Amino acid sequence: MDDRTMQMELDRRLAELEKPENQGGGLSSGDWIFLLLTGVIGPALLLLWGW
Amino acid sequence: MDPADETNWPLLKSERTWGQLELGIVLLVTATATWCYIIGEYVGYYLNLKQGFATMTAGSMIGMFLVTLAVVPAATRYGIDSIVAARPQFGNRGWIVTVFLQYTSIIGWNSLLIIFFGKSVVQLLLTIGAVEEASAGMVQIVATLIACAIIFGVLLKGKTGIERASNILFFFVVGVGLWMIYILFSNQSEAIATATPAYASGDIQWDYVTGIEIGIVSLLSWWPYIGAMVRVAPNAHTAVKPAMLGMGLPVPLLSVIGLAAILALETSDPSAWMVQLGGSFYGTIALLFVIAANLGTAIVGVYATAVGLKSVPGVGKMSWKVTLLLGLVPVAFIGVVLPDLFFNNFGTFLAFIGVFFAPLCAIQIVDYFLLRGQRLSVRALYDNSEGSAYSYWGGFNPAALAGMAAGFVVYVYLLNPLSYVSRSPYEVLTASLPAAVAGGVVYWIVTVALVKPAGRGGAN
Repeated sequence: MDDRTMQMELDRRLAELEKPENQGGGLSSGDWIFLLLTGVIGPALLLLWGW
Repeated sequence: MDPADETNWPLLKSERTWGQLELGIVLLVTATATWCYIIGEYVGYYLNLKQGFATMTAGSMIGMFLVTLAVVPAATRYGIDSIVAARPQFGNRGWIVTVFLQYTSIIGWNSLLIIFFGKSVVQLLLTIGAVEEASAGMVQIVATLIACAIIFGVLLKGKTGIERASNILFFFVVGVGLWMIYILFSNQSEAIATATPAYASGDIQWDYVTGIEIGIVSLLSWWPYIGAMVRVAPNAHTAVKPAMLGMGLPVPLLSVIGLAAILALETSDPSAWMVQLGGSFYGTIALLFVIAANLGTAIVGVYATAVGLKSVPGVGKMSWKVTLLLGLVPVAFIGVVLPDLFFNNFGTFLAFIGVFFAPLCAIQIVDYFLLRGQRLSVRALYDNSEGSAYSYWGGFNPAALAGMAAGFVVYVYLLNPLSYVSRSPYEVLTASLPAAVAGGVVYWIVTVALVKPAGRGGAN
């Protein structure tokens, strides 16, 4: 692809991704609970068990 | 190959096709490599099996938690890699900091993996009697070059090549890994249970915190790798479980092999202790495992480097093949020309590089969640002009630079990453977590006090 075609393709992508409906969703409340369980609470319990 | 694979462009919804299973397999194959034994070995110097397992797993999951929060939400919302995701914090020229960290870190780790790959091939061929000791040096060079050629061939297909290679390596890596754990624990359970760590400091609290620190800092090193992979997932929900369970958990689980082996058999090298337990046949399987595991990780490392390098203006216009070579040639050169010099000295550099990832993650978390309300300007991410929302001052954000400096100073004050000489309150807080807090707090303060009032950074 030449420079101009590449810039046009990038512009097309950016225009599409500027629309919220084309973006990926964020973290749900379930994801936050999972993250806190595996990244904070689980490690804390493991450390208590291992001590 | 998909044109988006040849660039660092954002992937469109239609191109983000990996589900939890596909992403989980790729991340697991990425996470499984020789370093797991090294991590287990280091922890085994200070702690017994129970303490080592608890601290290593807890630290690893805390480190993965930070990396996941820093990269996954932005990468999956806009289909971008770790480097592009850091542009809002570092500026549209400040990305050079993150590219430098990614490039040097991955080149360094890949060089280690490829050298281990070459050594394992030599050992394998010696074990089965296919080569003589005298030709070992030449065989290692040829094996290194073959590994680089395989990686290059796989990555000509971009992310599709990674997915295919991961699917092939997955069953072997997981199957043999679990079998090795079974062999070690069924043969040496008493020795493992009663073993005492060789270099325990005498202060159990210090040893315990050091086990946690090793876990955290090891997993923070996933920052350069993860963005290029999770951007292929359609949303954050799809990527969170594979990140935590596919990339975070396998490291401590596999590191248990190194931990148990160093405690019971005084060597973490599986090709050595498998020979002790089952002769050359077991040793051969262990070597094949190391070869497969290192290859999978190196493939993803070169891919992540190539995508990251596309942020460099000159590289952005190069062909995909040339960009891949930028990630591969240094690795091949080190593996062929100066493997011993690298082994002896580059660990120092890598230790200091790793220190920067804690404040880097915290800066991204503070920026994305607290300052920007989980929204970025996707157009500004690719705008290198002075008028871009992310141009700050001359393309650099002083808040990010100050945050990184603060995190680095706090880390090396608390813990020398080379000698492991520490200062209080390291024995309570670790070094990575205070470094992350310092980096995040300084970033927030400078942003609120200086950057926002000046109308820079697009977060108003």
